[in-house]
Amino acid sequence: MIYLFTAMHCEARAIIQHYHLKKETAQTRFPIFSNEDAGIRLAVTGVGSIAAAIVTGSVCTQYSVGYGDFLVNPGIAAGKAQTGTLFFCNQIQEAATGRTFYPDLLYRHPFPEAAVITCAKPVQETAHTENPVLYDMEAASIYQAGACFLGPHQMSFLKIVSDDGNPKEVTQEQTADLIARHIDDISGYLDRLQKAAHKTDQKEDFCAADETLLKKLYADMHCSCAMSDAIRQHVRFALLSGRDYTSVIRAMYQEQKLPCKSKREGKNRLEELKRRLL
Amino acid sequence: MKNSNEDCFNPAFSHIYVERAVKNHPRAKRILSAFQNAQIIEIGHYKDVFCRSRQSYALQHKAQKLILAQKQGNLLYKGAPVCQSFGNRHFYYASCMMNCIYDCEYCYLKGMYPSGNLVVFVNLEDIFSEARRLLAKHPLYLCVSYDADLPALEAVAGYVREWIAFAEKQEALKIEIRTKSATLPRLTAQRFASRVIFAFTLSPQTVIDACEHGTPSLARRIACAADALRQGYCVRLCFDPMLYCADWKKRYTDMLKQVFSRIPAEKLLDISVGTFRVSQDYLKKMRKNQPHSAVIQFPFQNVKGVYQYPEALSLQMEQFLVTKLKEWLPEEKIFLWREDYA
Repeated sequence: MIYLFTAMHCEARAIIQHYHLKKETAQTRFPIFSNEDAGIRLAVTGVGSIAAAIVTGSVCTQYSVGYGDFLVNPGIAAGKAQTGTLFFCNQIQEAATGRTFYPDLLYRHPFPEAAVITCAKPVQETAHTENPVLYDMEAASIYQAGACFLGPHQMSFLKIVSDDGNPKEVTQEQTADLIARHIDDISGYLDRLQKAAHKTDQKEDFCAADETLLKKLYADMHCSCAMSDAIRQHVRFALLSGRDYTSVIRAMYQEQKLPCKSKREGKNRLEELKRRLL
Repeated sequence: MKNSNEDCFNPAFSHIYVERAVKNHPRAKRILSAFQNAQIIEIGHYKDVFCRSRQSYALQHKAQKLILAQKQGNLLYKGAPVCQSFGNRHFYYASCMMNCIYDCEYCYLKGMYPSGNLVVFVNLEDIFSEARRLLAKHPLYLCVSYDADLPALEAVAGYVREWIAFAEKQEALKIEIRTKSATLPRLTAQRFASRVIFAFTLSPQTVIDACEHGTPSLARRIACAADALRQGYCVRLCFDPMLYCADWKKRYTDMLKQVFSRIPAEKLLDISVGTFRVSQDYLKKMRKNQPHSAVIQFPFQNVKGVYQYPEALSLQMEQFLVTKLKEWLPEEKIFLWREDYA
């Protein structure tokens, strides 16, 4: 699942429309929109660091965000670059503390890159710098809250330049339009993340049939926890090595070496089983 | 140079993080000049990137980034007990890079480092100073390619040449450059060749195919080792780690035949043999990062905090290889890690 966090509803509007997201009515403290089939959930955090951190933490907790998930923060930012340019943020500075955070840059994207500085108030003046620098009010907080649940390879920050330090001149309609103009680029990047998530899906070690067989084996050998762990590791190695471990176990049953009558016998059989599984 | 073909991922070294303190260092400038299209990101300290929490070593290795930094604190380390000293009393290693462009499933670096990105310390001169300080006290046997594969990154960093040039001037210094690569710099002077040891780690081709992703083939490594001997370098062959598989005897026998059909055994400095072993803390992380790697999911035994094959198997594998090797080399040229560790 991709979790999107925007500060304002007008930043979310184009994304809601593009992915046909539906409002989650059970959630009333802040708006959440989702489309399970599309694998997208979007929360509107409200403006500013505290609101952004609270909502990010809350959503990540409520939906047990973790392995295979992504966090994306699309939104507008101030900067000297051409208005309407979408930047991929390669570092996030927190103005209040001077700390810098680095989301991983693993996946291909078509956007120019920039640093974003998260400030407590809208900036009135942006600096001329050699490399583009943007100013927002949420990214650093979303990163820090998200980092409690996700790794740096799971978080991306996309910022569209809305002004160069005149935030009052940017209307909600203009903001919505800036995002809408880039919705294909944004959705293209989200598609790439979803493909990447699919590729890295964790396969289970053991299928249900393996688990059933192992459970019976533990009982038939009167296994302690340590013995069960040892068998499990041997079977895992056999499976990964492409060996048919079931035939080894079946053979021991056919030879009437299993089931064992006692724990002592189970311990003796364990050594033989381990040897035969290698 | 590795370049990910998986279309989701950025190519290797698409981004280079550079500590502000070293951005004007000549080595940093030289390295950066090789990556004209890379995005450069200035950072305060390499640990701000390298030591973040919850990183995915495996994913980062698919789109590896380069970090140029300054080495501080300890510049040379005493050799670890699980490493071989080859009879050298003053055994140290240098860590002028962290991590490797190769992707070997069993590599201890995957358990040691929190990140799959590659750090190059550009202040090599400080490491040389520390080596000189130790050399003033005693001779030094220094392994310079332990926490990385220096020759594999030679085209970018040029550190092998720099270490050889340094060794040339230090008579009491002997360096070992361990590698799985298949390239080495031309030797410019013969008189100090005995103090530069190129140590080639060799594995059966089936092991290379299964576990040593991105590395040169066995045939290429053998050809490179043969070339090193022709140039006059000291050459060590490392059958370490030996890895268990169902038909390990056949695989290692075939490998030895291939090796000694191309390499004159009598010219080798020595050979090291050791079955796989790794500290318990590292293996735990390695297994978490690579849950589907057979080579590290072997049911190892924990002996004093070091995971290794069951003793009987370990001895059988090592003795088998040593017995075979004795057909080509005298026993005193064959070093077993176990002898050092005992």
